[in-house]
Amino acid sequence: MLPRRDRTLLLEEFDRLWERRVHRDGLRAARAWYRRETLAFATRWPLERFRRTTTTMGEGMMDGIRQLRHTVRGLARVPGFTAVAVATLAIGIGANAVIFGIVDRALLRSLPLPESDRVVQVFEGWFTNLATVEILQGGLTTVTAIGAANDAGGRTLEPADGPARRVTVAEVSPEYFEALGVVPRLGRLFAREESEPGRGGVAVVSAAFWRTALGGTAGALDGELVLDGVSHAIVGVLPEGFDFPSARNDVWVPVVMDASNPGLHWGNGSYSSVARMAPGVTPAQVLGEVMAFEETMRLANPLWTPNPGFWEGARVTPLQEARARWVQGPLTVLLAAVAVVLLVVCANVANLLLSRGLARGRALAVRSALGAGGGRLAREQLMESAVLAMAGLAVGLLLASWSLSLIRPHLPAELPGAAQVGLDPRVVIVTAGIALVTALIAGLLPAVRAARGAPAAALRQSGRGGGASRSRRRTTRVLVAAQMAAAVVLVVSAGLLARSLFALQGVDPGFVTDSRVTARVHLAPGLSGDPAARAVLLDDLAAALSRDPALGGVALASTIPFGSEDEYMATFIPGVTDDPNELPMARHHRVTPSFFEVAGIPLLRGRGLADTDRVGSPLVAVVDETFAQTFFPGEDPIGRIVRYPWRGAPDIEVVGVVGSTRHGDLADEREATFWVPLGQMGLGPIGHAVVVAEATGEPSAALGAVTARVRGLDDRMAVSELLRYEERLGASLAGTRLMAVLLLVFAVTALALGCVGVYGVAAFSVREKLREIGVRMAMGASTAGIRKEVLREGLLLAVPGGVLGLILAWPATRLLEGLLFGVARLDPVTFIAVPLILSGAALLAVVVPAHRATRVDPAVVLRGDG
Amino acid sequence: MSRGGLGELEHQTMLALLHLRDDAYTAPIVEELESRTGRDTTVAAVYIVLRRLEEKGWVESELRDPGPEGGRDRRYFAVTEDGIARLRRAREAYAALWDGLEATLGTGKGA
Repeated sequence: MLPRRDRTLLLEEFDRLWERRVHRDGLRAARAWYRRETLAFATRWPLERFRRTTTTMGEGMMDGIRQLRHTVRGLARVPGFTAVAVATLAIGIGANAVIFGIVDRALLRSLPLPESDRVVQVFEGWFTNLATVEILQGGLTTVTAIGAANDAGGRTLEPADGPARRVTVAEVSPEYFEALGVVPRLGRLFAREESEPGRGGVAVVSAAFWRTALGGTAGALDGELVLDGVSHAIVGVLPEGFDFPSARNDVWVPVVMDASNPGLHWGNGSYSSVARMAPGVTPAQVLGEVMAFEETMRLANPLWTPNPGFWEGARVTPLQEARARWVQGPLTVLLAAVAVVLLVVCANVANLLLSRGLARGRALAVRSALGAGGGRLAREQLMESAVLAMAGLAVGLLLASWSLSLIRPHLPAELPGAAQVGLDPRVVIVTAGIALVTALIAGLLPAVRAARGAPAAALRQSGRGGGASRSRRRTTRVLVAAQMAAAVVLVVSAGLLARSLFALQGVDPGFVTDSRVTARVHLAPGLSGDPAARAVLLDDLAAALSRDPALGGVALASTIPFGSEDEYMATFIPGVTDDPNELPMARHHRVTPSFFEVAGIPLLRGRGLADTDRVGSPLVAVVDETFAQTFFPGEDPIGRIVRYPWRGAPDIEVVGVVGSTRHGDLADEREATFWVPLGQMGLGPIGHAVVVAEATGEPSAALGAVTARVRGLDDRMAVSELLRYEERLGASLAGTRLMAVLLLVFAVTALALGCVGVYGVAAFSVREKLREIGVRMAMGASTAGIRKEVLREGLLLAVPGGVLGLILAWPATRLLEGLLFGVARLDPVTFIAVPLILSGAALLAVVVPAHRATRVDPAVVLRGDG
Repeated sequence: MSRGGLGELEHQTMLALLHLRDDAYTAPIVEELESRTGRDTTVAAVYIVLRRLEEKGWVESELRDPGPEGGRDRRYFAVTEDGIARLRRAREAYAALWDGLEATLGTGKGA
């Protein structure tokens, strides 16, 4: 209650006054007085203390604001310097915001699911069948739910109004949603019994689909969706941005758990399984329990008996990690790259601040002499870099939001959270942190110099600024060298990726893409399940398309290379392997006979497929060169037998060999492939066919013709994926191209900043040596000689940084290893080209200073006015 | 409250200090004020005013031996040069304001 400073003193004084009061006014009055005093201190002193603190704080703040105003005014007086510094910082900060925004969504942020750390992928990286999941559902105690989902597939949606169109549908078990813990935005999800055979008939939809296709009202829950001719009641809407199993899904329907159909139950291994661990359980415990069911899973299989050890290497991984695994490498590279750009930016701004510090040297020196302490000067310097960084942050965030809108459409759909990437508060806060650190790093050196005797040195200097401190020059040179080194690392990385991209573009896919168009045709739903009617329809379709003058050759297929779906088949090859555990997986396509001709795939041996290879005639297949070399090395494959993996599958005779093609990724090794006649094998349960046709004129006209002809045949058939074949190939390069472009942008930025640094040093050094140059020119030195000397000096400035950069690039490119194709990590072409590029850039940077040096007028300089 | 402002109690306290000369510690200051103004004053109010005057640099204090009286050290207050200058300015301001009001308000002595 009493002020700490004078507590005992005051108590004593109170005693003294108390005695006098008692003596003067009597005990009663003295007591009243004492109470009044106590109350006064109890109420007034705390108020006073509060006033004192706020005043001190307010004064501190006022002081800060004054200093801020002073700094801003100072910067406004040098708009050129400020603009360059802010722009430089904005580039570095903006680039970091963009990449951090992407990385945060994909790798750092936990999945938008309740207690998402309990959600795991069982058999990570593998696909499994529903029967296996069912066994685990019945037995696992370490999980509260385990469900299955297959990747998105297309189905034909027949809206009540308008033409049929394709939607992307995932089949999931009811437990899949349970395992994720997702809560519907509207309505409900699936009940467990809805995956029993004969039930189903329900669907839930994505929030985006609900909004765009269903009007976004609660009334949508009363509606139904007709998918491939089957009606589904809409029972729920998933939350915004829900992207499990993939962001492409419009509609989710329940899987059918039908143990009475072993071909589908055991044979369709296209499901991924997700589980929710019980509280306190680790993925390792779940894996242990899964492996305890190995014997059950092995022996229950009615189709074949896997060998013991079949599940060796199975993994149970947190879902977030499993989803992010494939993007981790590229994102790490990008993150490293923007960090390097930011360091270059820091060095650049530090250099700018240093040269500005020099320009202000005399002013600072005067102030220092007048008593401004080193600490204060350092604080001012830091304040200046902080102000610059905050301006850089503001501009950088604008830049970032603009670049994100540019990049977002090009982000791969498989990138987790790609659709939500943006400048949310979290990204802005982290970016602000980055900006502060940047300010600190960039301002540190100049601040230290301001605090130390630099100003005093400036005062001692001649007014001409002739002998700038040697240590400052050394600092600048070191900073420029560091910038150059960092730029070189980035240029090497970008160069390697660009070379990979070129190598990929140069890969022969094994078929012709020029003027070839492709489309997916979704058969009329009423036909499902009737093979004869389908065969007729396919014939009609092929005939209708062939009649169109915009289309040359026309072929149909179940799947095509670089299509949106893959077909693999475990294949019995008598004489090679009969062991179901050892069956090789081969690519499998069902095509019409014209396919090889339309796609320009050469027939190497035997015969191709023929129109006579139809239902009822002997089963035939054409294999590709890779298949022949892999399974029949040195032998004639013609006449050999292959079989599908199920029991009682008939023999298929190999009648021809065609050239190998790439299938989904130009970087992949060739895969063994066999082609069978579509007219003989039919489409099976697939509800769509792919059209490949040669355009006789404009590809766009050909694509229009495909749509028109299909609609003309039956307007219940939907057409999707209308693409030139080149676009499909191009799409497979999109990831590599995006990486290469981003790295190239970063590399060019870093190099440009490095060159600004070289320019700055060269220009400064010319200014410093004006007198010397003047003297030498007066003595008869040639302008060519002077120019050459400045150029040489500039180049020499870039050399140590360049060499250091090349040395650093050696280990740094290790990060890139998994991303390169057809080019070695230490590719000599890149490593030779980069120093040349660097020299060119450095030369460009010193051209202006060199020119200026030759324009020196000796008379003027020597008079002392220069 | 602005830094240069001089409140009434501050004004009175500084004058009391000058009256007390070397004997200006809290208890006598309070008594001096009470006896000269005839108003009850609390130690708390005076103490707070003294601290503020110290902050403004118009009053300084030191811990000193009370001398022949004996006992522990006391905190003695004294008006600084700045304080005296400030009082002079205040008096000039008041004098200028009083000037010409004698007829209305009397001379102030024994009124």
